[in-house]
Amino acid sequence: MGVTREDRVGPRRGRRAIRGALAAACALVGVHAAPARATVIDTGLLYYGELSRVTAVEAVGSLRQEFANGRTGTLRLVYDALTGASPNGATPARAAQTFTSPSGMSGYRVAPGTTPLDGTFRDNRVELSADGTLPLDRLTTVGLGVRFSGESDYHSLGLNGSLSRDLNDRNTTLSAALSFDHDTVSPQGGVPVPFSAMPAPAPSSGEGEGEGGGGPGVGKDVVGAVLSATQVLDRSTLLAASWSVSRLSGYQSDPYKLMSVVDPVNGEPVRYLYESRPESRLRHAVYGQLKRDLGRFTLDLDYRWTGDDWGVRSHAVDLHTRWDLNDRQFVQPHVRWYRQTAADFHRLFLVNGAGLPDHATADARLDAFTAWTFGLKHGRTLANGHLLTVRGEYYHQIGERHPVAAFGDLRDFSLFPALDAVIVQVGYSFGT
Amino acid sequence: MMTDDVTLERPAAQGHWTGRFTAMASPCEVLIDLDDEAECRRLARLAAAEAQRIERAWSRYRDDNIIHAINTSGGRPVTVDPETAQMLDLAARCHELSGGRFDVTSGALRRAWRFDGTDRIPAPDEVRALLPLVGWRRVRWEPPVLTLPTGMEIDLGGLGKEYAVDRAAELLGRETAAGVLVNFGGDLRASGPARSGAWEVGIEDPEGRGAGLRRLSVSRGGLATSGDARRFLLRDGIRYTHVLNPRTGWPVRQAPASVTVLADSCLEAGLLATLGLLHGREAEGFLREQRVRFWCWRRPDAA
Amino acid sequence: MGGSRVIRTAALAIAASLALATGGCATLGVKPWERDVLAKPGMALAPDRLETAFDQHIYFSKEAATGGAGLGGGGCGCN
Repeated sequence: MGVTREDRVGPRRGRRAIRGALAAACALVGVHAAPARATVIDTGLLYYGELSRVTAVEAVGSLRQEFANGRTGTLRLVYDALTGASPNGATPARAAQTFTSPSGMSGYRVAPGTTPLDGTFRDNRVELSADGTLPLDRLTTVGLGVRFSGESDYHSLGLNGSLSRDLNDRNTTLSAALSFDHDTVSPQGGVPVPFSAMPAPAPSSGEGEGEGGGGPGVGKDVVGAVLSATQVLDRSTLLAASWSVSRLSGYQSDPYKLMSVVDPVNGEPVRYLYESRPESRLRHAVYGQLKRDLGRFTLDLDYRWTGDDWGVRSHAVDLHTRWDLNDRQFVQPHVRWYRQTAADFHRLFLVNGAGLPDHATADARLDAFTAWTFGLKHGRTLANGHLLTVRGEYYHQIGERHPVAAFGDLRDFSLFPALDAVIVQVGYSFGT
Repeated sequence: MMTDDVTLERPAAQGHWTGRFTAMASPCEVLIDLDDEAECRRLARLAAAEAQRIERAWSRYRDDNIIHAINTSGGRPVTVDPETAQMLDLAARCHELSGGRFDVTSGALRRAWRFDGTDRIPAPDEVRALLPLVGWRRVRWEPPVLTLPTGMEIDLGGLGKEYAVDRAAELLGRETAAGVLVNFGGDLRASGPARSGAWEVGIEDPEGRGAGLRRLSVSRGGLATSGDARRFLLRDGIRYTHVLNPRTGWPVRQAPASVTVLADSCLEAGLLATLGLLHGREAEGFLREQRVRFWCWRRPDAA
Repeated sequence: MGGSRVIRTAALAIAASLALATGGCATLGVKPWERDVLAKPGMALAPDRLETAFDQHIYFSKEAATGGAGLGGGGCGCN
């Protein structure tokens, strides 16, 4: 008698594929299959490049392990390297400008009419995190996580915990999470006093530029809470919603960002001051997500609203449409629209002679703007069962280049540093 | 309780204890990778009790269980217990998913077909007369009430053994974190490897000739076999498998002699193996599309 | 920007979530054997954890808002 050789899994088109449905049917009688993958390793490499400005490369590796009794543990390692120039907060001027680099060791010149960029940045960051989940009973899970991140001038230590419960035949999941983070910033050249003047560069002593934090730092604490709910609406639809709140207290100014104090008549810079942000920030966010299966297509639509007591409010709408080409490949176009209002204390510049406000920042990230992201992702399950994904995205911020507040020479310059970035990411996942 | 006839042994070379007992007309064993003999005996007894409980509930050879009540209900509605209700839901779903090939009401055809190795195949009229008594669509299933027309019968034997394996394995999985392998007559489920590594499982030629044809390392998942073993009819050189097509009442054409499937649970593996057989000539094609590891044995004299 | 508006929106979100959880759920949802579509990898809420984390980091460092999908208090000196 003959034996068919079939002890390998074949990659045929699955017109009669019912295995998933059968496994779901087995759950009817309480037979839950052993997890398909007890160990999952995800790796990813990301390249982020702004047109002639910041370039960053980030590499991530994570290992997730399932243990007996439904416990899981995840370890994650991140490394990123950043180089390039970013806006230092000062306004463009008719004459060339000179700024002191953050370390105070040297100065750099900025051409007339251009957005001042500080090009001395180079930094490397390492982040390590560990998370675990533990089922308390069949329907309740407890999670715990710790995370450490460190770079030359910034360190962060965080702890988080969560509790979640399934209801209604596992059609509803409710969860609550709490997190604590303590961040310390020890900037090169020391922590500037808010609104203090930018010092002249110290005589060059030949020491290295760009890296190395200085002296004791200042810290901030972040406490956050999230309440979320997930609900199965029908066989092909899932809805998730969450509300989160976080409170930041401590030093929140950017120690490297300046503000131009300009002449009240022509708008030319007279001197430069370090920015000043409040020591407290309370932020809320509301998030909703809808997932809908349409056969070959899967729709993922997210909406997020945030608001805080700095006056920043934002809306973000995110749409991913996954198109399964066959049972091994998919492409996923992606569109994101984002809009934020400016912080109450955001000023493009300060005027010489007018009194100083309580707080002010010229950081474009706290200005009002709209951002668009367009992306495309391709995923392929290889013959060995591993998943390879490649993703390309384009990010563009649009802000008011010629605001009403501009006067004198400032009217001739673009006061919103345009941001155009390209993102390329490769991911590789496998498991046993 | 019949759990006293559980024997426990640990051969010298092995690190695990093996509990053996008989249930569902099969030799059953439970392999537990623990050193504590008393604990292993307790766990083996738990597994045996579970197997015997399920056998008592759904065996068609008993006259004191829900299956008997259903099959002698004479067309009257019967309210079933939650576990049987879940099993009937599963049967309904499998009937749907298999396009009608899988049917727990096909047992009535046994009145015409007796697979005793002889050459007595029934007359076409005999089979045709039984067709109105076969078909899940004739059953009224409104959980938890089942109404079975007179003359029809329900047989959960095709699912009971694999279900018992999974139940026993999951029960033991809640009682201990040690690696466990539950094996009821060749249908097995592993929930966790032994300390020394994955469990070594052999898959044999159904004729039983020679040593195991394949060796597998299983640390998690289920293995089940569907096959005709000694249940067949042989006439004019053609072997008629005992796997009947419920729509025609005749054996599935060109079915493999035996199908073994490795899946995530024993029940899933058993269902896929049975469905594989029910696809007859297309067994391999169907199983390939399910993305599972499988082994098909064929005889040259299949109908 | 009034804190009371923030609080009112937040209260609405919580109420909506609770209503979802307790009220309409007797009729909403699927039976255990109807979860085959929901089990597709593309139907997970976060099908690619790495991509979600990368994006959150990028938007955190280039925009003023964060949070929502998960927690994101501090972490790096990029904002």
